[in-house]
Amino acid sequence: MDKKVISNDILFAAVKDLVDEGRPVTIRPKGDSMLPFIHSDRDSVTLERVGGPLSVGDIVLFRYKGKYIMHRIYAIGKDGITLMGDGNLNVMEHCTASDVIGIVTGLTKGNGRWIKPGKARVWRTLKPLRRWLLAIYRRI
Amino acid sequence: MKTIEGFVLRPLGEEYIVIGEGIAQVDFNRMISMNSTAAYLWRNVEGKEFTVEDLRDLLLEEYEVDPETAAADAAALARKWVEAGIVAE
Repeated sequence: MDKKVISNDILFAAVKDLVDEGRPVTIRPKGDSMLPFIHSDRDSVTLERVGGPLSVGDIVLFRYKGKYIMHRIYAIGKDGITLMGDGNLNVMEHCTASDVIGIVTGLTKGNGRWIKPGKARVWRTLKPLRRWLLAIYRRI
Repeated sequence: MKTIEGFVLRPLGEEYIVIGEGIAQVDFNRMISMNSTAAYLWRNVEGKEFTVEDLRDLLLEEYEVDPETAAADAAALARKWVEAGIVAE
């Protein structure tokens, strides 16, 4: 079937409605900011309504400065949630729980394999080495 | 032919998408999109038995188009709907 590109605002408004209804929604994310976990050219993610308390390591879709971003939670504090893309070196975002649209509950790799996302504890710990790890990873 | 029960038309920006309401999972990679013309036809045949000729007549009622073009468009759309699994032959 033909591929159709839908503008982010329209797509994510629809995603939000469906997730709010309690339905899991599968989309193909764009960009490299979640490498090496998510490859935008071949992976799809499944988003669901946040059922319980969010925790560090969860990947969420959230609204940030008028845009929609899907990144991993790095810290949860009284003043909100701090997030960062796995593929980013030091840029972090900050939002509140009400900005979170859904949580990533599954990842379908290009080969059709389904993965339940982990908390990326090791990857988060290796943040100071990320520049080199990503450089090596991108060359493989 | 007949539309398969449980598929619902929803607006998506200026266009429409058809989503299986009975299916919990919504996959935007396998979404059926419709322009306003297809959506108009879908609304008019939803839940009913219909033929390609019915679609053609609906096009002729609503749009300024010659009967040959309308017939060809109706046939192409009906085929697409069957392929997409939202209409049974």
